[in-house]
Amino acid sequence: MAATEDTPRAVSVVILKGGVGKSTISMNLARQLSERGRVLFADLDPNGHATNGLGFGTVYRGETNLGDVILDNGDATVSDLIQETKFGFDLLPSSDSLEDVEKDLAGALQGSARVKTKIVDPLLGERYDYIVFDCPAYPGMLNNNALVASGNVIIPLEPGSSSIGGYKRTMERLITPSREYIDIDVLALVPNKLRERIDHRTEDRELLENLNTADATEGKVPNFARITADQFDAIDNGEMKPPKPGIRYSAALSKSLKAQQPLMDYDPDNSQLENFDELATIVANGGVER
Amino acid sequence: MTDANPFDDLGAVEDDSDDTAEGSNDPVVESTDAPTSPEASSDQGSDRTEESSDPVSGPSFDYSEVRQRPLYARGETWDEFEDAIGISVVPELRREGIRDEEKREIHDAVLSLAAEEPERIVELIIERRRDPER
Repeated sequence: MAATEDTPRAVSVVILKGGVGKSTISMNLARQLSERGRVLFADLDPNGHATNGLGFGTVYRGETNLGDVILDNGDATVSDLIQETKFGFDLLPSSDSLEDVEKDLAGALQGSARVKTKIVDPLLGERYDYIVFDCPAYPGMLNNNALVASGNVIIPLEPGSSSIGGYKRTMERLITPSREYIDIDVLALVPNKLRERIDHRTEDRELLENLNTADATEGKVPNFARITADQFDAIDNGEMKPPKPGIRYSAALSKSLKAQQPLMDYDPDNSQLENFDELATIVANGGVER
Repeated sequence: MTDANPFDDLGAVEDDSDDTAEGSNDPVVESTDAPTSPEASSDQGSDRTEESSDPVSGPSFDYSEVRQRPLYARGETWDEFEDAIGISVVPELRREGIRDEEKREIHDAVLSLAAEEPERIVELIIERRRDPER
């Protein structure tokens, strides 16, 4: 039934660490997916970076919140909540009362499955071809709901040991426990905010080498960050010009957020767009394809 | 290694990311400990001589044993496959008392089936090359 040739799919952009770029990546992923089908961007992070960043500050501070739709005493429909944006996708906004909703979910019957049963099941494949979740940086019922509702995750990583720690925490505290009950596919591990040379021993190099050489992760690295062992050797031997892999640290990206626009609308010629487009392809295909 | 699984409220939630399965809300059941997979025999599981009458609880292997690889097939082939699962496989599993089938179990069985019938794979490929409309 979908308008596209692809299977409808939901995905959560998640890592238990702040400042890695979850909101930026999820928002721009939603924007690129909107070129392929009907997209809902769901902001489940109580701090509402993405909701405010898209210019919906009034809605963020408004009366209606997610709890009015997914909790037992709620009297709103999901349509009361969803906002249309100027960028080709719809927004399920965060709200400044989302932390209270999280507390209530903890006491609700099958609280972890409320977003799935009340929002994703009725909408995915019917009203939307893709649903992208922006998740909080801490473990809790909102993250649990995003995981259960989507069944797919994209994990952004920035260079540095704290990001690796965040990745490990995400696996141990979210992904692994959830697998006792549901199938979760890690679609991609996305190196973000790269800016250093990779022909020297930099943190960027360390992150890329770790992801690209470990059996468990190498198949999850998007092509825009894929460097084989042979290529690393060639780079070190001076036989190959060091590439600039990953999503780069870019002024345009920061400026686009300040301008309350996805990168595609702020700077349609930006070289980073092809990276977000590959992420959209990964979501559409259900995994990385070499 | 936390003491309590944060997802324990789920009991038994179906993972059906496709729209073929029924959207029944299972009543919450006590979380039966996921069986620590009795070393999933790597050869096809066709050696069940006696069908046990008690419903088999829980997948026969853990997600951690899964190796995820992309499969490339045409959209209409995926549709046929998902219809077959939704129309024939899932209802029959229900009759056998299995309510919590996981995607990984279905995919695992599909590959085993293909491995058991390689001649048929060859036939299908040749047929389609001769008649691309099929």
